[in-house]
Order: sequence, then C-alpha cells, then structure tokens
Amino acid sequence: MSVSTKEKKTKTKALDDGGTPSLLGTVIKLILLGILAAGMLFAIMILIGNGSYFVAGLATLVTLVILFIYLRRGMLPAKYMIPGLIFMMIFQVYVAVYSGYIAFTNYGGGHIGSKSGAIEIMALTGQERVPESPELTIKILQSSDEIGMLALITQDDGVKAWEFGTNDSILSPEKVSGTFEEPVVDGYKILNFSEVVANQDAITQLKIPAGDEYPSAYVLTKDGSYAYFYQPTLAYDPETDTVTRVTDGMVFTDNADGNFQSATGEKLFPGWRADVGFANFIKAFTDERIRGPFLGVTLWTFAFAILSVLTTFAMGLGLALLFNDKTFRGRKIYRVAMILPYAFPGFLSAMIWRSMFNEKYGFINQVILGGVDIPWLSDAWLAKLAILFVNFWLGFPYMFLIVLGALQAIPEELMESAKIDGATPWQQLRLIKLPLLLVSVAPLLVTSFAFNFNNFTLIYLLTGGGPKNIDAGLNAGHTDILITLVYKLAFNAGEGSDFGLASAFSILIFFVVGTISYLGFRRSRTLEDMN
Amino acid sequence: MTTPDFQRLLIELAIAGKSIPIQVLKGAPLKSTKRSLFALGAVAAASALVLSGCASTEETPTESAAPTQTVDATPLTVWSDEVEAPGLEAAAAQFEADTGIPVNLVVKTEVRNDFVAAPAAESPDVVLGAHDWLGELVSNGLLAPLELGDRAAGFVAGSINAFNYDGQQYGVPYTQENIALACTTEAMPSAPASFQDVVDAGLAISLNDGTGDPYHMYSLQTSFGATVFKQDETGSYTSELGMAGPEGLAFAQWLKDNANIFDLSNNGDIVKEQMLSGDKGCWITGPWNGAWFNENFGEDGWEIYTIPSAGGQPSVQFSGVRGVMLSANSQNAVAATKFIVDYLGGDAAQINLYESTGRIPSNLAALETAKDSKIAAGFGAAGANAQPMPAIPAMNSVWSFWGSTEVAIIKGDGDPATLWTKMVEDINAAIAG
Repeated sequence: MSVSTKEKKTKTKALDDGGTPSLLGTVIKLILLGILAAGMLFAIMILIGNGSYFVAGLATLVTLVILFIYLRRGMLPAKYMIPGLIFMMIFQVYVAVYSGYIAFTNYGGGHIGSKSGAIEIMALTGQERVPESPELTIKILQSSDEIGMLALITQDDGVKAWEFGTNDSILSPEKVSGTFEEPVVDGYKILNFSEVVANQDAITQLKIPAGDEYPSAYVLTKDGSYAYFYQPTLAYDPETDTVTRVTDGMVFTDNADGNFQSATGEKLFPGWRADVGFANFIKAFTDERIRGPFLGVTLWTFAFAILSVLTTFAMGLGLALLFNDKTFRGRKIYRVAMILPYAFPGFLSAMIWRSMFNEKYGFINQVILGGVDIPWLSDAWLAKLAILFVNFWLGFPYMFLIVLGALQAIPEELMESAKIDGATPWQQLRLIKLPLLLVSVAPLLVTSFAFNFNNFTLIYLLTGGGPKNIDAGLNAGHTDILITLVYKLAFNAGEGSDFGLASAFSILIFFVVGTISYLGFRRSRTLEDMN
Repeated sequence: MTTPDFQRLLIELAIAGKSIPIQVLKGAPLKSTKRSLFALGAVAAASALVLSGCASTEETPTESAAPTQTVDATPLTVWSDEVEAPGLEAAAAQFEADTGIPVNLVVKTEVRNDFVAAPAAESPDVVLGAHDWLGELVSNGLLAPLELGDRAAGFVAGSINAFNYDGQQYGVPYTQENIALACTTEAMPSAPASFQDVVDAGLAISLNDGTGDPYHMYSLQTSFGATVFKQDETGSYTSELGMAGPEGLAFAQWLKDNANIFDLSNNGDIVKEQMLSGDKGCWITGPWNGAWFNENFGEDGWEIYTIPSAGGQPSVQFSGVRGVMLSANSQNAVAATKFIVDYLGGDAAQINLYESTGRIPSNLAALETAKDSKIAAGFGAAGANAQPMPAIPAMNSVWSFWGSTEVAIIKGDGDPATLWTKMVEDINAAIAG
C-alpha cells in the first residue's frame, strides 16, 4: 500500500536541489521575511528596554536562524519543519518545562512575586498615618540636584504658612521667601504636575523628618498634591535580613519557604516564590483531605474515560457499518445529521444538556418523560449516567467519522473472497473488518482515552463535579474526575490559587496518562505487525 | 494616524527603548487611534514574548521599575467591568485634558483573576473591584495603600471602612450593595409582618441549579444569630467561625424543617419566569435586578422590603462595596493616585458612575442625587443592618463547603446537625491549609 520509496527519493532530491525559483516567488518571500524581521527587531528593542536580555538574545537567535534557512537555497526539509518546530517549542516544550519547574516552587496565592518585591511592598504597607495628624497641602520643588517639598503648615498662632524640607532637613519656614500665594525657595523651582509625574520615583521616595511634634514620624506624599505624617510599623534590616514589628518588637526571619516568620510561627504577607523541592508532591500523597476521596475519584476517572471510549466507539462502529452499505438510501443526508453533535462547540452542548437535565423544569423530565421528577444531576449514580450519556452524544460522531474512513480503506476484494469462502457476516466483521480497522483506529482510541481522562470542560460545565460527596473532607463530588479535583484543590485554597500544587498534580496525571498511552500504542503496533 | 506621527513614535521608541512609552503629540489624532497604536505596541510586545518562548514573569518589580523621566505622558491603564467603564470616561477625559496623561480604559470580564495572574509588567495602574478581594490582593502584595485624607468625609463611612484592611486604606469606594426582599405589590402590598407572610406570598430564593447560594441564604441564617466569622471588638472579622455554635445548628435544623420552601432546581432565569407568571410573589435579591423589576412591573408594581426574621433575631445581609484600587506594580503611581483620589474620588465622577451604572452610590453627593431613585433608596434602606462581607483570605475556603452543605440539608441527605458540624470541621481544616 505504500508509495514506492525509490520514487519518493528521486522527488526529494529534485526538490532539494531547489530548482529555479520564480521572480514573483522570490519577491513575496523577501517581503514576508522583511516584515518578520522588522517585527522581531521591534520586539527585541522593547525586550532590551525592559532588561530581558536573555529573551532578547533568544529572539535574535531565532530570527537569525529563520532568515538563514529561508534565504539559503536548498535545505528544503528545514524550510518545512522550522515553523512547526518553533511553535512546538513555544506551545509544548516551553509550557511543559515551565509547569515542571513550577511544581517545585510554592508559586500561588501569597507567593506570587520575588523577595525584593515583597520587601518593597512591606515598606509601603509597613507604615501608618500618625493618628489625628493633619493633612498637608504641598508643592514639589526641584533644584539642580535634589527634590524638596513646600508644605502648608498651621503655625502655633493658628495661621497657615509655607515650610520647606528635603530628605536631609526637617520642615521649617526659614528658607521660604516670597508671598503666601507665590512662595519662593532660592535655588529651587516649583514643578507643575507633568514635571511631578516625570520625577515620580524621586518624589515618592521623599521622606522628610517630621521634627519635634511627631518624633519618629516623617512626611510622605503619594500624589504630589497632599502629604501626611507617617510612622513605621515594620522595619526591614538588610544586614540581618529580618523584619521587626515596631509595635511589639517581634522579629521575623526568612523561613526559606517564601515568608518572613516569627519565632511564634506568625507569618508576614506578602511572601515570595521560593523553591520548595518535593514539598508539593509530598503534599499530594500525604494530605488527609486528598487521600480520603482520592480512590473513589481515581476509579471514576478510569471508568469515565474507558466507558466513554467504548460506548462512543461501539455506536460509531455500528453506524459506520450501516452507512457503509451501498444499498442504504439517503446516506449523505443522514451522515450530515450524524455529524451535527460534533460540529457544535462542546461547552455549549454541555450547558444546554445541563438545563435539559434540570430536575423540575428541564426538557427531559417535563416534556419527554411527561412531568416526572428524576434527579438527573443531583443523584450520585444518575449524574454519572447523565455525564456518560452526554459524552456519548458528543463523541460518537467522531468515532463514526474515523471508523467510516477506515472501513472504506478496506479493499472490496477481501470481503468478496471472504464471502466466497462462506464466511457469515458476523465472521466477516469479527475476523476481517475489525482487525483491519483496529490497525488504523487503535491509536485514535488511545488518544481519545487520554482526552477523556482529562475532560475538564464537560464535567465542570455539566455537574461541576457535584453532587457533593458529603463524606469527603475536601469539597469533592461524586462526578469529579482527577483533573476537576485538582482544580478545586489548587484554586480554592485558603489564600487563593496554588499553582505549585496544581503543577505537581498535572505531572502526576501526565505520568498516569503517559503510561497508559504508551502501553496502548505498543499494543496497537503489535496489531500492525500482525497484518 | 499620519505617517510622521508613526515615524516619531518609532524614533522615540528607539531612543527610549522602553516598554511602550508613547508620547502623545500635540494635536494628536482621536483617542481611538491612540488606542490602536497602543494596541499595536502591545501586540508586538506580546508576540515578542510568545515568539521568544519566555514570559516576563521572572522579572521582579524592582527590575522593571526603570525610570521614565524622558517621557511625561505614559498612559494610565484602568481595568474595570463592562458596566462601570462608561461611567469612567468623563473623568478620564478630564484627567487627560488637565494633565496631558491619557487614560486607557480596559474592560475585563475576569478582573480579579486576571489581576492576580498578571505579571508585574502587564499589571494595570488602577483596578476597579469589590472590597472582599482585598484579602487575596493584599496578601499577594498587589495593592498599594492610598491616603484619602480629609476627602474620606465625603463618603458613607461604612464604605470607606470596607476598603480598610489591616489598618491600611486600599480603595476609594463608589458603590455598596446589599440584598433585600423585592415583592410585587400584587402579592405583598405592604411590608410583611412575619417570615410566614413571605412564605405564603411565594418566596423565591435562587439556588443556582442546586449548587447552593450561601450569599443569599445568609440573610436567613443571620436571623438565628449565626454569623459567618466572629468579629473582634473593632468590628474586624477574625478567622474563627461564628456559625459553629448552637446558633448554626438551629439554622441547620430550621433548614431541614422548612426544606419545602426551597427549590433546588431553580436559578435566576427560572425565578424571573415564576415572578412574571405570579407563581412567586417575593424574591430575595439585590439591586442588580431592580431594572428588571421596573421594566416588567413598572415603578409602582413592586416594592422593596426588609427581609423579615426567620429565626427571631434581625436579618443581617452581606454588603458588598465596589471601589477603585491602586496597583502596587504601577510604574506611574503618582499620576494614578491623583486620578483615583482627586478625579474618581470627586463628586462629579461619583455622580457619573452612579448615573451610568445605576449602582447605589457611596459618595454623599451622589447619594443625594440618587435619593429619588426607587432602587437606590429602597435597597439602601432595607440594608440598614448590612455588614461588609468578610475580606479575609479565609473567606475563600468557606463558600463551596457552605453552599453544598445547605443543599445537602435541603435535599435531606442526612442529619442536619451532623452535616453542619462536618461542614464546620471541613472549613476549619481548609483554613488551616
């Protein structure tokens, strides 16, 4: 059945030599490459500006490789392969490697940023406005080398007057001259708002000692128009890498798990992303809340995936055999109708089925069954049945399509000689059609199993994993499969999402699906060898 | 866009080499063109990230905090939902006219999740959201504190306090909302004297297709004295469950005894049909359905009442406050702070937001203009008891256990006291992590 390899070789060789490209083709190629190069140059400039030198270098390298391959004659296989390879690196390899890395960190709620970012935030939040202190109207001033602040201060006699201060000097009226409406400080220029915005980093770092009235306090502004007296509540010491709470003197040290923690176990937030080794994997296996429902959920996941493949394949096979019969009238119309469930987006179907299964108001109970109250989605077993049914409805057209295609590839002569040898239709199916079919269809059954093993959309939209299993400590339901359980666990945790744990689980699920797929593919290769 | 503009932009980019620093030129074209230019830059940047196969999440905020002294008009990016975005346009235009800084209003359907997931470099400057996000956002270090100063006096005190977390103010509120009892005048011409009256008139409470709705059910639960978390003397929520004691068990028992009131098959759409057909006369719902009532029953065809007590004590609802917050990753914090405090926090912008969203204002001047609105005044009065929904991170662990346990009790899946006790244990275990 295969194309002669000799013929293939000569063809490849001819193409490899490149032939003579047409002028138009060359022009179009150059324009496209030019656009690509321009776009990449723009991107690389932005990346360098952001300080992402590694990414910029990578982008440069990729661009050069692309240009080299397409501008050179020959190298035809590379010309076909390179776009696919690049997209595979981005969408498959990178994502997989990144998830693998995340699984060994505590990335998630409370641990999103870096340590320096967390310290920076604590500097912002670790201070409070001095109670009962006044609001100050201010102006920002700039000299050749520093920023200063003019603040409107109520004097002892109750009259308001401008006072001037910088990072090094407390607010005082000494340097201020000019009128109340137009105060002047020698050597300094009052900034307008766009100049304030242009110097915002320096202005937000302006920390003027408050003087005698509020001894430990300082004056800060956040918008360049108003300033307030602040006092610190947390103090970070870079030398010892500790944070001290001013109010009670409690010292917090880096606990190596992405938090500053006190001797009493109290943690400061935000934390930061830290490498935690195998902690996520250990948690996945030892957490009481996971272990409880884990067995039931795993069994149901396998049952769901296997039954989904079997039922849809059986239906697809039956229909394909029926429609492959040339004496069948109106085949084309039926075929189109068959494919419709497959043509609708799966999530839409799931949501429509959900409302059709509604216990009191759903179409199935109200119209088809004439007003009964069958708890399709709130009874543990019925909900499982409903899910299998909907997946059956969604999946059989696919099986129908691939089986029909495979059936048509079976040579007529085989069936005819079988008939002459006196084989019954059942024998023809069992001994000739099915083995030949499985050669081409078995790998697709394996991928279908892998797909259903992680069929998050259907479960999430149809039942949300419910009805709840009231015995399970974790919020697991009777129809949860592994991936929806992981979702509930990783994204409903105390402080929000736990990407690290979710990644660890995805890796574990990958190993399960990977092992089964490997065994499945090996088995289908045996089938191939038999023929 | 004219060609010279574009050339200048490219030159500037080449000089500055920054992440999309766009100088808006004098006599610049329409806003939409500016946005498309911005989008072009963003697309290029995004594709660069994608093409090079690496994200910028590695960056720390400090590293990306490169100063932008040479460029004085880095635009502010504001994330909001689609309802509030139109109400921000006037303030954004005013801000641009006064300061020359353009404001990009970006509508997001998943503001909270996107904001948490966004890498520092892609974080917006300003974000509009609900006060109960604070726990998550603050513990992730995503918000910078604001200081309202004397302008706080222009707001309903409770709304300002809702945005106070761990002693810091993180937002300027613009609306607060709470649920109440909305009845057709046909079914309930005057305020109901007892909970039984409401049941007799046909009480609807949406249970989200049987997944439960503890948010609405809370107004019944609190009438048994079972608050979700205990409050300390300052009114802040602690992470100790208030519904663990006998009050919670009493509510669980009541739920079982009155299971027939609740319809596990319904959802918001079904309840609307039941209200229209007259099957149900009263619905425990919030101001977001006020416009629907006005449309279908007319201003005089429905009334808003306080929810009568089911368990003997006054019914308390959750109140949710929405407001404007400042991202800790903003590279333009001074301009963003000014925009939030002086523009969005001002009376004019607050009135605009009220008029375009119809949501009950938190600003006193806006509240004054809203006092003739049936929805704003009615729900506001009925929610006099309302308590802010807890913002502490522990709250995330509560919702799903709470809802599914209530559903299990209504379905009769076991002894209510056992189920409720198990729920309390599960929630405590989840909070402990």
